[in-house]
Amino acid sequence: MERQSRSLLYRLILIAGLFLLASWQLYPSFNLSRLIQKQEVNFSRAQAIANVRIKDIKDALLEGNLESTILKALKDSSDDKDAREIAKKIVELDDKISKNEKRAIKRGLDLQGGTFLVYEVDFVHYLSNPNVAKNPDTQLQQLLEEIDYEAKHQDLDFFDVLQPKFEEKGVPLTRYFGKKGESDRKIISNLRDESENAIDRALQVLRNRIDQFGVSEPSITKQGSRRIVVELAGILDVNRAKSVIGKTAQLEFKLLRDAEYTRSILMRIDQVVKQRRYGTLDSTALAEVMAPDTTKKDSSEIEEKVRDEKEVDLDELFGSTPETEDMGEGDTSLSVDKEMFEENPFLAMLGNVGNMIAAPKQNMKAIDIILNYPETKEIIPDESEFLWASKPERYGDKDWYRLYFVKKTAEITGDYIEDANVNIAGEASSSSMTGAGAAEVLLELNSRGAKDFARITGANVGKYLAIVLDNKVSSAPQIRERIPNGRSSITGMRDINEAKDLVVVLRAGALPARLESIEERTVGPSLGRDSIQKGQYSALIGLLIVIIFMVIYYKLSGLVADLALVLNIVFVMAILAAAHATLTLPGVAGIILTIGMAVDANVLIFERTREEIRSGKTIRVAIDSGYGRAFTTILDANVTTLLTALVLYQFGTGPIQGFAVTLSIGIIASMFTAIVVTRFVFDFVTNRWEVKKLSI
Amino acid sequence: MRIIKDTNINFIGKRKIALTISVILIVIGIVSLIIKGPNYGVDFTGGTSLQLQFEKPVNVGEIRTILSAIGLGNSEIKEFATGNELLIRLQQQDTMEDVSEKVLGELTNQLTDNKFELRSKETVGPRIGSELRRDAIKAILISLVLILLYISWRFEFKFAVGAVVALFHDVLITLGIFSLFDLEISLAVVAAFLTIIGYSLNDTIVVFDRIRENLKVMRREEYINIFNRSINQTLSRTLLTSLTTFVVIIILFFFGGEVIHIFSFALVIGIIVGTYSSIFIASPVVVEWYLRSEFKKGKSGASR
Repeated sequence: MERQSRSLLYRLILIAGLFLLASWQLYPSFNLSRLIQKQEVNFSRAQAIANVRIKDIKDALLEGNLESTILKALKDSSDDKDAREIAKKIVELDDKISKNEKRAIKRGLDLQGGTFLVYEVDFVHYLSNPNVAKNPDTQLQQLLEEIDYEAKHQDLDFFDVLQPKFEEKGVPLTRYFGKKGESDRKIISNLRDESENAIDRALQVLRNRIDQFGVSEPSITKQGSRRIVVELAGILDVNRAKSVIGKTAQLEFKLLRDAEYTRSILMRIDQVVKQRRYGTLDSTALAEVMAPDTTKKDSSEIEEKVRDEKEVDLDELFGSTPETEDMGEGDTSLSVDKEMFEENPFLAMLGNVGNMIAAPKQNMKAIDIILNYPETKEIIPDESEFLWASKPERYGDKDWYRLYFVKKTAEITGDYIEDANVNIAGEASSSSMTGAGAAEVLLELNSRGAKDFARITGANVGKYLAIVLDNKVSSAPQIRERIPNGRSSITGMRDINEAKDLVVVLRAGALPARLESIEERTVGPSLGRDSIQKGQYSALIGLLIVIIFMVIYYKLSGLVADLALVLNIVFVMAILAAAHATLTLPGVAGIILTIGMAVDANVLIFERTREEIRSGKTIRVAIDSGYGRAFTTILDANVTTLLTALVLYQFGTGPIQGFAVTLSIGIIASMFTAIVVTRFVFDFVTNRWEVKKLSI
Repeated sequence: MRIIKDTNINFIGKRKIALTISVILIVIGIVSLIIKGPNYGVDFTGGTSLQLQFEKPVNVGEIRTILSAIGLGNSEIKEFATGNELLIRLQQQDTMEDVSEKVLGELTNQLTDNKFELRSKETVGPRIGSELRRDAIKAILISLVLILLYISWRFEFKFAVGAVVALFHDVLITLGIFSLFDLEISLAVVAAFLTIIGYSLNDTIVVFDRIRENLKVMRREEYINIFNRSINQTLSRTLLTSLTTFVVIIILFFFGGEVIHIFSFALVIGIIVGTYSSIFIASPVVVEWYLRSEFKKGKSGASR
C-alpha cells in the first residue's frame, strides 16, 4: 500500500508538472490575441488624435519612426503630449507583442495570408555568363540548354550530366571552364562549389532586398541543389514583392553598334527570312540590298512617313511550323509594311522610332524566332547581340519597342554601384507622377567604376551607350562628353513605385544568376481568417460530440477518457508552441482528426476491461489486465500510423508537413494521456475507495 | 451502455461476397480511371488556379465569355456553393508571362459593378507538377513497404500481406470514387490518402492483434473460427472508434470550409472503406493463406 501511494504521488507530480509546463508554453499564444486587441484600440486612438491612417502607423512602426510620424501629422495643431504618450504606448505594446509572438504558435501562410514562392536558379544563364565561362558563345549556350533539359526531365543533378554531355559532343571542358590542363573532375567540382556559392550569395541578396521591402519575419531558404523558397507572411501586394525578388538586377552599360553596320546585319537576316519563305536564295536581290542603300537613308523621313500597314497572319510568314503553334492562340497576326513585305519580309516587320529601329509589340515574338534561326545566329557575330527596349513607346495606334544592336561584353556592370536614389524629374507638374519618364533612378558609381566610366565615355564620345537592366535596354543616350564623376541615371520608370523598387534591387546588388519562378501559392488574408474560424468551429463541435458520446457510452470512465482527450489537445498545442512549429490548415485538420482517434486507445482499454469484468475478475485485476493487454495493440496501431505520418513529412511541402507534424504529435501525446493519465485516475480512485462496481 | 453485445457473426464465411463487392468497386474505379483518368489539380498538372470572391453572385457564362475574349476559353470555371465564389483553373501556358495578371485585369475591367477579391492563387510550373506526382506515388509506395516490414516483424509475413492488400484496396477504391465523381486530386488529397492508409491500418492491426493472441490461446480451434471470434471480439471497438472519427471528419467536411472540403471528403470515404477492409479484406487474406498452407502440408501441419 505504501509503495502504491508513493507511485501515485510520483505520477501525480509528473502529470501536474507537465500540465503546468504546457500551460506556461501556451500562455503567450493566448496572451497574444489579447495584446493585439489592445493594440488595435491604441491604433484607433492614435488615428483619432493625429488623423493618420492606420496603415501609415503600421508602416512607421516597422520603420521605427512612429513618434515623428505622428508628430509630423499633427503639425502642431493639437496637444502633442497626448500624441507622444500614445506613440510611446504603441511602441511599448509592439515590443511586448513581438516578444509574445516569438513564443506563440506560428500560423502558417494559409492561415494568416501570405505568399509562398519557389525559384529555381537558371544554371544555363549562370554558366554562360562571362564571369564564369571563358569566351561563352552560342555553342556553349546550346550545350548548356541541352544539359539543363536532360537534368530537369530525368531528375538528375545538373553537374552530373555536364561532363558526359561535353564528352559526347567532343567538346573539352577546358574550352570554357577551368585552367588549361586541369582535369575534368577538378573542373566539375570547382563549378559545383562556385554554383553553390552563387546560390548562397543569391540567398543573401534576396534577404537584403526583402529586408528593405519591410516584410516581418520573411523566410528564405535553400531547397535541394538549385532551388530557393521564399515565404512572405501577411503581404498584400504580392506582385510588387515578386518583381523585387525575381529581378536579376544585372545592370550593364553596353556600347551600341553603329547604324551602318546594324543595317547591313539586318539586311542579311532579311535575306535569310526571304530564302526560308521562297526556298531559294535570290542572289541578285541580295546584291541589291547589300549595296549601299539609297532609297531610304534618311531615317527621320521614315519616321514621319505614315507607314502603309497591313496585317498578315503568322502562317503567311512562317508557313505552318511548330514555332507558330508554340505561340499560342490570340495574337497570331503581324503588322508589316505593305510595300516591303514581299521583297523584304523581315525589314517589313520593323520600323523606325526616332532614329532607332523598332517594332510593334505584336511582331516581337516573330522577330525573336527569326533571330534564333541557326542561319541568323551565324550572321550575328558572337561579340554582338540584339536587345529589346524595356518599355514601349506609343506611335500611331501601336506600342513600339526599340531594337538595339549592341556589343555583347559590357563596358561596366552594376557591381560598381555605390548608391542609387530616386529622382523625380520635372517636379513642377506634381500630377505627372504617373506619367512615363517622370521618375528616374540616379546612379552613383564607386571610385573604380567612376574611373572606368570616365575612360569609356571619354573614348566613345558621339556614340550611344545602352543602359541594360536584365537584358532589356532602359535607355541608350548619346555620349556627348567624357563623364568624370561616375554619375548616370536610368529613366523610363512607369511610376515612382517602380523607381523605388529598382533602387531597392540596385542597392541590394544583382543576383549572381537568373531565378526562374516555378511555384507560387498565395492566400489572401480574408481566406486565412475564414479558415481559422471554420477550423476552430469544427474542432469545437467535434470535440463536444466526442466528449458527450464517451460519457454516454462509458459513463464515469468516459469522463476520465474525456479528461485525457482535453489534456491531449493542450499537450499538442503546447508542443507546437514549444517547438515554434507552424500551424497550417491541414495541421488544424490533423488536430481535429486526432480528436477522433485519440479516444481510440481508451476505447480499446475500456472494451478490454469490460471483457475482463464480464469474465468475473475483480475490478483491480480487470483494470490491470485491461491496460496490460490493450497496450501492445495500442503500440502497434500507433507505430504504423506514425510510420505513414513520417513518410508524409518527408514527402510533403509546407502545409502537408504541418499536417504530418500535428498528427504525429497528437498520436504520441494521446499515448501518454490515454494510458498514463487515465490509469492514474483509476488507480487513484481504486486506491482511495473500495470500488465495488466500476462505472464503465 | 453497450451497443454491440457478444456477437457471433460469421465474417470470414462471407469473404467471397465481400471479395465480389470489392472487386466490382475496384473494377468500376479502374475503368473510370482508364477512361476519364484522374482529375489532377494544378499541383500535379501545372498551371494556375485562382479563387475569387465576388460581392454579388456571378454568372459562370459571363466569366467564360470574358476569358474566351483573351484566348483562355478552355479554362475550367467552378462555382462554390456560396454562389459568389469562383475557382478558375488556367491551363499551363508555354510563355513565361503571367496569365493570371491578364485574367484579373480583364475581370476587373469588365465586371465594374461587381468587385472581387483574390482569395488565393496557386501557380505551379509543369515540371514541378510531374515532380510532385512522382513524389506522391513514391510516398505512398514507401509507406506501404515500411508497413510491410513492420508488420512482418511484429506479426508474420502473412499478416503484413493481408494488411497491405487491404490498403491497396482502400486507396484504389477511394481513387476510383474520385475519378468517377471528377473530384480534383491535389496535394492535400494525397495527404488524405496517406492518412487513410494510416487509419485503415490502425483498424486492421487491432483485429490482427486479437487474432495473434487467440491463435496462442485457442490452439485446437479451426482457423476460421479463431479469426471470426477475434473480429467479433474487437467489433465493438472497431465500430466505436470509426464512429467517433467519422463524426469529427463529417463535421470537418460540412463546416471546415472550401479549402478543406475535398480533403475531408477523401477521409470520409477512407474511413468507411478502411473499416470495411480491415474486417472483410485483411483478415480473409490471412485466413486464406493459412488454409492453403495447411492444405499443402496435408492437414497434419496445423502448427504455426
